[in-house]
Amino acid sequence: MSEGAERGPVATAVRALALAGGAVLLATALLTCFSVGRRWATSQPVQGDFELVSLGSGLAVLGFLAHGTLRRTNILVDSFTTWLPRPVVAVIDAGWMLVWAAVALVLAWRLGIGAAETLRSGTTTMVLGLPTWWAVGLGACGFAMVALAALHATGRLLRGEEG
Amino acid sequence: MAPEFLQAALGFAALLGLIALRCPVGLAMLLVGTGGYVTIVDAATLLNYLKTTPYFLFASYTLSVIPLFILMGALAERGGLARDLFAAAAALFGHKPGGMAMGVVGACACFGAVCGSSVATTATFGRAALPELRRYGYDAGLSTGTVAVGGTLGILIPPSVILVVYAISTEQNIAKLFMAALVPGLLATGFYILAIWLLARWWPALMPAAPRLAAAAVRGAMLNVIPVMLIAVVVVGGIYGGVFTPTESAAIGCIATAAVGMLRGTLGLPALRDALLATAETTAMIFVILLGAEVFNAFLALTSAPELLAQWISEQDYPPYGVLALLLFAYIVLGAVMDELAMILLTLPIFFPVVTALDFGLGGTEETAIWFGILVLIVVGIGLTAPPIGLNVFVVSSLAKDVPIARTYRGVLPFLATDLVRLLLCVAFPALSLWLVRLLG
Amino acid sequence: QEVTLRLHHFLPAISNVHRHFIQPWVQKVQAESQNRIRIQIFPAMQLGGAPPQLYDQARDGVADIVWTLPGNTPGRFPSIEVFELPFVAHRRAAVNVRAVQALYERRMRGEFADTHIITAWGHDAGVIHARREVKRMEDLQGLKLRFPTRQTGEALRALGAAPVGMPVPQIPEALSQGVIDGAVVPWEVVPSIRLHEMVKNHTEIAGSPTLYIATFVLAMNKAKYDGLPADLRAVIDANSGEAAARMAAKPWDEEGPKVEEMVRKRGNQILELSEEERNRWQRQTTPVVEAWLAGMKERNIDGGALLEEARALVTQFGQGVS
Ligand code: NA
Ligand code: NA
Repeated sequence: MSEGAERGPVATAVRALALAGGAVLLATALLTCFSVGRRWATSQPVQGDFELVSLGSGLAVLGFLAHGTLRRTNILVDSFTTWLPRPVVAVIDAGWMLVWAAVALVLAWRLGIGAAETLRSGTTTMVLGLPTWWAVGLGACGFAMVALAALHATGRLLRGEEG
Repeated sequence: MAPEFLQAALGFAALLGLIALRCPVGLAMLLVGTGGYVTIVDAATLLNYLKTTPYFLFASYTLSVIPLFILMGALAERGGLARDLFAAAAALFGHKPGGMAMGVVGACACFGAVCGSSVATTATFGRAALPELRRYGYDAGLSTGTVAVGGTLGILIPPSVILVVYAISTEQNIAKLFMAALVPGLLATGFYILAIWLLARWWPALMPAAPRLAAAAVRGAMLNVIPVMLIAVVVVGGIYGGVFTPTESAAIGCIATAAVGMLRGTLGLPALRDALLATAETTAMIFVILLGAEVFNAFLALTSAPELLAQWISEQDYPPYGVLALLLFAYIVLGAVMDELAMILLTLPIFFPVVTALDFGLGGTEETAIWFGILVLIVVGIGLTAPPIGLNVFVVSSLAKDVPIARTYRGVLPFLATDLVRLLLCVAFPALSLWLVRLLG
Repeated sequence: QEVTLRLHHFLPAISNVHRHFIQPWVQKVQAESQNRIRIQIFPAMQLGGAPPQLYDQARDGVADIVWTLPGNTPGRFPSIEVFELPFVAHRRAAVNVRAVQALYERRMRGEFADTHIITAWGHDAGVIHARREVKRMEDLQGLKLRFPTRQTGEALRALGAAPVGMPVPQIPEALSQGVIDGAVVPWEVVPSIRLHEMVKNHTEIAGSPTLYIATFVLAMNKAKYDGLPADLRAVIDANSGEAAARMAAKPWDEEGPKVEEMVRKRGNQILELSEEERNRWQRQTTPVVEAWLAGMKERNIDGGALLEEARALVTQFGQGVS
């Protein structure tokens, strides 16, 4: 499903973000293995491993969303629209993609505000005392990229480059 | 109808309407949930609710197991471990009538022990096994059908993303649910193999026997699968034996799978990159639905309909098995027409309190919850392959564009019959699900 | 005029706090308002979001009233942490609820200024529930214990344990998988997570001040509160502050001993830390208090005065309470 060879700056950026998310996920897996090993050997797990795993997998998922959008891996049901001609279907799909872009923009905006408020309130994580605001802020960036990817996909659908 | 139920019913109707209009499922839930929320409360409040919700939803320890299991599956696939499994199974059974198809089921079951997603398992074997089946002259519909059904073993054999989601939304122990799923999962594997055996006896033309391999080739193929079998033992055994949490098992499985692939030279940087991108696609798909369900379920809670319905049903004094049959029937109908992950996320807030309030003569509500989880898993498996909307069938179809989807559905039918038998068995004998939990729990 | 309020919290409806504080409080408010105030309770995060978001949900009106732990968002409400420091709070919730509420009124209104705090309180003495016996500080060495709030985590670390942070619902799974060897929670929480079925040893800390407590607030959306008609606001006020705090002590002071009795009857071992050992622990954890004081200084808060006042309040309300 992932032989995505799309070119262009948007596709490249989205893919880079997804790969960064994947790298974070791999790092999270490595950290967990290390923590399990330490727990087994010295009965002292890595301090705050739960927090780091939640943070790592959360950031990875946020990095993945734009790629999923651009590759259009969302689950949709086409049984009721099989009789429609392909161009019409493409227009419908483009319409929903545009809605998704709008939703993602709203979410990016709200997460941006959430990040600013978290920064002001000085909230940190429980064990390591890491500030939370920047992670929420990265969430805003992730959804902004989703919006960009969705707009890009809308254009491609309307130009008939996908079906 | 009470206004609470009217609101909830309108919400569900709008959801199905949007889905029928090709609206992606996650987006549809998000939109309907938003609309309902704004109607009951107001837009400003919804906007406030969304300020940090997506972040805290995604950055949760319990959910982290999902991307990790998906990554493990992707690494196993790109590292060629799935191909090895199929090669070994084909080497062992391929020369028997229907042996290649049985090999697919067996390999899917083994792969299911390192992969938590049915879509990933289907896609994996669609690529690794489908061309081989066709090459040896297996019937097209039977080949695609077998892969679609074998793919459900990705969730029926633990680890299982669907069970993780069930555990999280009902606050149950993931490890215990995994234990409970093992026997029914092996039962599914056995039934599928039995179905193929019967088909091969009745219609031998559907699946001609492949030539027998030389003993050395069989041995080589068997040696190749030792690493993946070891990983499966560590991952599943670690969870059952109480050595690791599911997240830890998934993480260890990821690293071990990557290490095996790299040591054997099958997982170079391009393959690793592909595995990460494949993980990104599947994970994004699931988490968009989780986000949609979060908002939709907040709307549903605001209507108070779930609570009132559960209360109403428990006051009616209906026979427990009657209610259970009704719920399972509803799941089969829903599962035929909608996405399974969305289905359980949407219905559990309503169905789960109803079920756990009933007395099935089991040892407490926890056992009822675990048993119900396994029954839900079985119906989800049915929904993944049943017409008109079976996700696994869609995945196979996208890989075998020359086979009409109707033929795949026909190929799936004999397996669906065994699914129903298995469902009845698991309803009638809760011990099938619970004995391992009672033994190890 | 009638109003409907949504009360949101994180525990399931079967939990002690839901049944023995939240529900009775709601019923009292409804009755005293002649049912002109209706309060819908949404337990178990039904309205969405995660527990750390609860306070903001009240601030933003996503819920009208929330029950939450300030400790869920470490760093945000530094002053109330004074009661969560090692060996500050009393062993009885009845004392802590009054002390926390009094100090809140005197010194912490500023930190919670963006909501209307109905009441602030703290629970009873936390208990160490572990696989192995904990009688002395040395028994804690390397013991992986789940901790409730940041300061308690620091205290356990100072005592030699390996504190592990995780949400309460994760405890059973983590225990059965050996990720943790035990957890520190008050008695009241034990049955809801079946802790007594997984560990055999429970160590109580004798006397007061006790090792630790966690603090809570019942926070209401400010605009919603200000918008109530005067007579309904009076009903809320009559069930706020110390009056509400006293109701809040029940799940811990009344249900806690029942749980303890049940666990004892089950054959689990209930240990009590000796007075001498307790003093050792207190000495060992003084650096935690000092670190907190230093941290408060950085934020320009007079932590020393807070600590002194908190201790004085605990002593004052603890007169004659064993
Ligand atoms: Na699986
Ligand atoms: Na389906």
